[in-house]
Amino acid sequence: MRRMKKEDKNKIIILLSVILLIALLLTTVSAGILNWIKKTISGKATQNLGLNITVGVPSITTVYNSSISLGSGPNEAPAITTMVINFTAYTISGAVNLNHSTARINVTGDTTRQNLSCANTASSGNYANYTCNITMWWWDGTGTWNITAYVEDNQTNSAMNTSTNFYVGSRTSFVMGPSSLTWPGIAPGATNKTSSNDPLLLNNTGNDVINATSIKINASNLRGETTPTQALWAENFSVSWNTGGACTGANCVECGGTVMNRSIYQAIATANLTKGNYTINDGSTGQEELYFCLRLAGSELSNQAYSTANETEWAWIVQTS
Amino acid sequence: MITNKYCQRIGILTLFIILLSSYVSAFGVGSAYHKEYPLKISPGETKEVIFNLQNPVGTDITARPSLTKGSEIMQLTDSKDIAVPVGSSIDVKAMVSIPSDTKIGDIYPVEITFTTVTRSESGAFALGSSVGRDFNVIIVPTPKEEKKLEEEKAKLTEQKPGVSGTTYIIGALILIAIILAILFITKKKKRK
Repeated sequence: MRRMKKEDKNKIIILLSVILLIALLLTTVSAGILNWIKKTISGKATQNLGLNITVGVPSITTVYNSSISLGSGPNEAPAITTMVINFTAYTISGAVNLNHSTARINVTGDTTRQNLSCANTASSGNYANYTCNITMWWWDGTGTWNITAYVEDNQTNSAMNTSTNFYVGSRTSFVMGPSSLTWPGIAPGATNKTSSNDPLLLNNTGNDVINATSIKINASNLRGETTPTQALWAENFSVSWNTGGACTGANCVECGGTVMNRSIYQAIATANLTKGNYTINDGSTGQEELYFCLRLAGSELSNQAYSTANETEWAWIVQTS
Repeated sequence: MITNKYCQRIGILTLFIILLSSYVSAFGVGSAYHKEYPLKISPGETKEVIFNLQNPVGTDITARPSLTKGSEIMQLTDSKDIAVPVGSSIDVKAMVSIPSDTKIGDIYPVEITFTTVTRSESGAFALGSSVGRDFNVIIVPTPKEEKKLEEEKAKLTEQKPGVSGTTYIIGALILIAIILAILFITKKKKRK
C-alpha cells in the first residue's frame, strides 16, 4: 500500500514535469508550432506563395488636375469654375484596344460632379491620355474632394483610379438688392411705417453657409442735411427676416424685429443664408429676405432731406461671416 | 395755413424717403482656412495666408480690410484699401507668425473683415456690404517633434505585444498541471 502511493506520486510528478516542459518549450519555440501541429494532423501546411498573373485588363496610371487651384473656393456666382482633369490609361493589349467613349471622371465632395465623355487627347503604344472638363458650381462645398477616373477596353474590362484628391476652400459672398427702398407718405410723428418695396434680398453667391446670427447690420443715423441735429435715429429702425401681421404698433412683424443700434453690428434674429442655387429664386435656396420698419419719425423733424451723407455718419453695412 | 405747412412737411419727408438707398453689392472673399478648417502651424514658423476677393458683377468696388481678432499673430502685407474692379479676382496676402516660445496646443482665433467703402450722397440712404472671415490658428509640434513623438509611441506599442495563440496553450497546460496537482493532494488526504 505504501509502495503503491509512492509509485502514484512519482507518476504524477513525471506527468507534471512533462507538461511544464512542453509549456516551457512553447514559450521559446512558438513560431511555427501551430503550423507543425496542423501539418502533422492534416498533412497540409500554410506557405506564402508569390503569384503574378498577367492579363490584358487596362489600368489608370496617372490622374492629375491641370487647371486652377480651388484653394480659395469656387468662383463667386454667377461665374462657374471649370476644372481640367487629365488621366493616363495603360493596357498591355495596346491603346487601340481602349474604348475611348467610356472614359469618364467623377469628382465627389458634398455632391458629385462628372464628365461622362472625356476627350482622348493622345494615344501611343500601350498608353492613352484623356482630358476631362468638370464644372464646379459656386455652392459646391468646402473640403476634400475625390477624383474617380474610369475607362473600359473593348472587352468591357474596366480600370478605375480613386487615388487623387483635391481641396476646395470656402468663399463667403453675397449680392443684395433692390437698388432702392421706399417709404412713401411718412409724416413727422409717424410710427411703424414699413418700406413699400422691401425685402432687401440677399443671394448667397458663395459656398459658405451663413448661419443664424451671422447676418448683421451696422446702422447709423440719417441726419438732416440742413439741420444735422435733427435725425431719423438708428434706434428707430428695426429689421426682420419676416413680414406680415397688421402693421399697427407691435403687431407688424418687422416693426417688432431686431432694433438697430448705431455703430454696433446687430445680428438679425433667425436670418440666415443657405448655400445653393439662388437662381431658382424660391425665397429660401441660397436666399434671405430682410424687411425694414421705421418705428418712429420724430415729431420734431423739420422740412429737409435726411441721409447718411453727414460726415459723422456712414452707410449702413450689411455683413455676413 | 397750419394744414398747408403740415402738408409741406409731409411732402418733403416723402421726398427724402423716395431717395432712400441706391446700392447693389456683389462682393465675396474666399480662403483655404475657415471655421471648420483651421490653420496648423508650429512655434517659430511663419505662413502666408491668401484671401481672394472677387467682384463678378455690378460696379468697381473698394474694399477696406480690418483685422478684428488675432492681430498679435497675423499681419496684412498691405493694409490699404483694395481696389476690386468689376470682373476681377484679387489676392490679399497676410502673414501668420508664431513666436518660438508658444505652447503646443494653443489656439488663436483670427478674424478679418473686408468692408466696401461706400460714399454717402446727399439725400441717399447708403448701404454697404462687409464680409467677415474667421478661423482658428492651432499650434502644433514641428514635423521633427511629431516624428519623435510617433517613434516614442511606436516603441510603447512594441513593448505591449498582443496575446498569441501559443500563450493560450501555455496557460491551458499550466492550468491542467495545477488541477492535477490539486486532485492528487485531495486523493492523498482522503486515503489517509
